[in-house]
Amino acid sequence: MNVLTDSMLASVLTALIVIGVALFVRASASVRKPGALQSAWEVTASSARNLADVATPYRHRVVAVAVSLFWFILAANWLPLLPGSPLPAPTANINMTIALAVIVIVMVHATAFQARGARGYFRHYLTPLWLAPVRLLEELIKPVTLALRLFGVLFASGLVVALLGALLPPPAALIPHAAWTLFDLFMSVVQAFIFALLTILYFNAAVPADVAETSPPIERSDR
Amino acid sequence: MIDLPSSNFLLPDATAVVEGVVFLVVLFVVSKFVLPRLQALAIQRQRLIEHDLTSATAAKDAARRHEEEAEELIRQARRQARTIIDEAYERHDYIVAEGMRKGREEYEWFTRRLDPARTRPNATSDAPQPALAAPRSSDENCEPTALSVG
Repeated sequence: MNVLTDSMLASVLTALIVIGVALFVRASASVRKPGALQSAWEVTASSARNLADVATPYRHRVVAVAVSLFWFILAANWLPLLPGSPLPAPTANINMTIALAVIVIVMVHATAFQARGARGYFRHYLTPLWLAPVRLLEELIKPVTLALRLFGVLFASGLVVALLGALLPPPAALIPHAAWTLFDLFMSVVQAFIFALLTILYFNAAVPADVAETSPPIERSDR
Repeated sequence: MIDLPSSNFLLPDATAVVEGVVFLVVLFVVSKFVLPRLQALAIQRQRLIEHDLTSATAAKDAARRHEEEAEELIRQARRQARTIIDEAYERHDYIVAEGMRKGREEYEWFTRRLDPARTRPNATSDAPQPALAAPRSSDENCEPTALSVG
């Protein structure tokens, strides 16, 4: 089996950065005066919590996956933008995006199975029966699209940087390179957001939401 | 900077497993250590804000109550001031009237001593006025003015 050491090293470094920042946020968290990092993490968590329309016992899991994905993908996308970084973005490699997409889909189905039970889970995907092949196909396509979207954007971004360096002499490439880097910064955030958002939507589609405790009274009809 | 494997770069290999494990470690740390703490802080902050809002409402009520008390005190002070001013005016009128009465008595006494004829009955108005009669007329002019104050 072939193993890409650069990509693996980059993913480990990304993980270390995210864990370091997360633990720093945890250690320096304050009720009265939250810092910028704490506020950013809190906004991410509260946004994920608001978007997650699943039963309460599973909400923390959805929020944790979405928040971790967002910060991990963002750090991975920004890794080559660090000054003097020799490492590529791990998300510009199909292995990373496939791994993330597979983890997401496995967790979605495991949570759905746990929440609905075996009968409910299969009934959810096999009803109506004539749509079952389409549903199965959809579930197979989801991780592929999730992985290829992120990989494609980051891979293309790396290619553009390489092309700018190859086609233009260093002084002339400076301005396009700077402009592309700024665009890349923005695009990295968008891609991390999309990945996390789609993850939450997949959870929402698979895991049932909370049932309202009190139903509104049914009025008697006039007839 | 892009790491292209020798085989098809769109096919995953064993690196995916390692990178998946790396992400799972991140997920574990965030899920177990970071998010519960942030959630607890958010709840704590929400309680703090609710408490502050309650305190602010209570302080607002107290401020309104104190304002009403202050207005009532000002009304009382104005009533007292009015009473004091009225009493001062009454005292002033009394002193003025008393002074005029005493002055008139002294004037009468001096007039009687200088002109004994004035003491005779039915000779007060027809008799020619003495030299000291001038102040009397001025007193008579003053008298209604002084009494009208009260």
